[in-house]
Amino acid sequence: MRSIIISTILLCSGLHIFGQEIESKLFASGFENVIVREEKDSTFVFFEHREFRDPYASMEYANLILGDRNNQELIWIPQFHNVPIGHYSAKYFHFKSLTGENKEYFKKHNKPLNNYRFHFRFHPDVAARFGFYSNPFEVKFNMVLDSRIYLLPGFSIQTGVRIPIVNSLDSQENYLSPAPSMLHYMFSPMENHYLAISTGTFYYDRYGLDFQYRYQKPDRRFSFGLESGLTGFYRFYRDGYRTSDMDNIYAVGDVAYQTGIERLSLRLSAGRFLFEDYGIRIDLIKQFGSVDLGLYASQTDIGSTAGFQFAFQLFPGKIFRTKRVEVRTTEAFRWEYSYNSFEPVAKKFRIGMERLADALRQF
Amino acid sequence: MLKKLFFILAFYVSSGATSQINFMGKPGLMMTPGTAWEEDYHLGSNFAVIPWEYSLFESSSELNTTQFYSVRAGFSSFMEVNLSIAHRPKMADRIGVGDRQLDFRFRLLKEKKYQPAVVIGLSVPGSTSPVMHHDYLVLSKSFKTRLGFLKANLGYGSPLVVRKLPGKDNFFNSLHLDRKEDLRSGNYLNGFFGGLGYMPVSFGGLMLEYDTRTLNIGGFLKIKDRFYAHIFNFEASSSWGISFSAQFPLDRKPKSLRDAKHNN
Repeated sequence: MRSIIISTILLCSGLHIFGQEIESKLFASGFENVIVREEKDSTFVFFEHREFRDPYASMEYANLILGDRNNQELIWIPQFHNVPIGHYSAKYFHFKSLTGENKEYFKKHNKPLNNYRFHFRFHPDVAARFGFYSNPFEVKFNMVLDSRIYLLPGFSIQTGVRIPIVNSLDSQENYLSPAPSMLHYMFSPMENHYLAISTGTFYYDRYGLDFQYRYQKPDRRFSFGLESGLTGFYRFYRDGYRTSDMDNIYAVGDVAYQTGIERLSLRLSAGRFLFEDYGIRIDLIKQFGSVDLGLYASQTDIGSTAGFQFAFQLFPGKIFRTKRVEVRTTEAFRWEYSYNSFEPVAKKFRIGMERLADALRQF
Repeated sequence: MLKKLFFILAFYVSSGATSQINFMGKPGLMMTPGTAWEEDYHLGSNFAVIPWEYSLFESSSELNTTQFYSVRAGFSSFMEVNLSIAHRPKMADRIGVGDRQLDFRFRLLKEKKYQPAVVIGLSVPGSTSPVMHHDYLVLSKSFKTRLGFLKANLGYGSPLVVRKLPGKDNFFNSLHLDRKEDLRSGNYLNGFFGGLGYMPVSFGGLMLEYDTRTLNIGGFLKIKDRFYAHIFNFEASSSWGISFSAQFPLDRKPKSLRDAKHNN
């Protein structure tokens, strides 16, 4: 009897050490909010890795750090914005929806304030227009240095400074100003259903309220969602700021389909776009991993256009990392080119982070 | 002695396909498109200068010297997209950045022992003056000889082109089918075209082609499959075109992960 108790204690402490070892090893390599749940024959590891755009890169990285463990089945549970997405077996990256038990366990052990580093993120902000005769290449290039701080589960604040580099596009002069700053709340009310609400100042000179909903189950081909918002124009000037009323309403629903052919997917969106034009837009998206390429065409009641977009993780990624602080380049730099440079057809705007559709497509 | 030289040359020839990049950043020879497919380098960028005497924008004006800036993106093993801007710096105050063109390439057949590679190229309609448009089908076959790699291209450029009529609101109603020869620069890639590429060494070669307008010869150098430099001549004249091209992979893992793999 005594030997059974002793061996049980030893086994438990051994498991505990194993869990701590996973936690500290992963944390040292940039994984955050690492939570380890050990069960009889499998170990669940929750984590978020903000340097990588591609969650598969982070899981591959985790596999590499921990090496091969034959006797224990490892299950990764990657998070996005402090929300766990699902189970992935470390061996084959097979997806399974998050179980109720793990959801409860995460709720209990999720410590958003303690478990994340303070990030300094370099994020270029580029706007350009080609085609005006007097100045064919009009460019506005700012470097944004910002951070996202998790305050409560799924609830974060993103803010920073905008450092102007060049501007031949609009009337804004070159001086330091606040970067787009917003409060953001993401949660998953039901398995594979996600909601995100942001309020503050965004990119593309918009401010206001933004709402996103998405259903995305990574092992299903179809996903759908809704993006909506109430926004206005704002811009900082040397002597303060100017705003227009917050009275632009947009609402765009979409259905996306992963073709299963070489990671190509199609997305059909329809609704009322940013400049209150009604119409449709179709996207073809290719995922390379850290890079997404897209082509699109759209037609609304103010005109039609076509163009391309891309999003990628900026090189080199991590620049500097300690226990408390990380300096890195952005995980997602996104840019869109429209052939029609005169009419803002079917415009959307960036909120300062990847939209749910673009982030969840990666999983 | 000669045999030895042959052997050395044959040794230097890489076993992969020979590919060059044409003036619009697409796989091809100098002014004509080809069938090569960059499977590992999904993104390409190209810069080319075409002298005014042989500019696609036909008017006897020295202002027509054209700089081509292009980006090529490989979406899949069967579809590629190319965006080109034909910038005429001496006319920039009048025409702005220049004509933009978006086109697609589709690979219909891969090359096999007795089967040529077949590629179809289509321009996206939308220009009121579709000078840069070309729609074509091209076949090619490569041969490995003891003297190096030889590649033969044969293609047919559509004599018809879709033009957008100005001043119409609805995009689809504004499209109009025209004969290419009725438009300016109508004799480029209009009908049968073809060419030969010859690579005696793995880092460069010679090219000869007929683009339905002119007969061109040229040479190129390359570093692996990543960087290319071309120089070519039109109609044995004193006018030269040049182009430089760089190709990049897009499926690389993030640096931290690559470093970790490297250290493991």
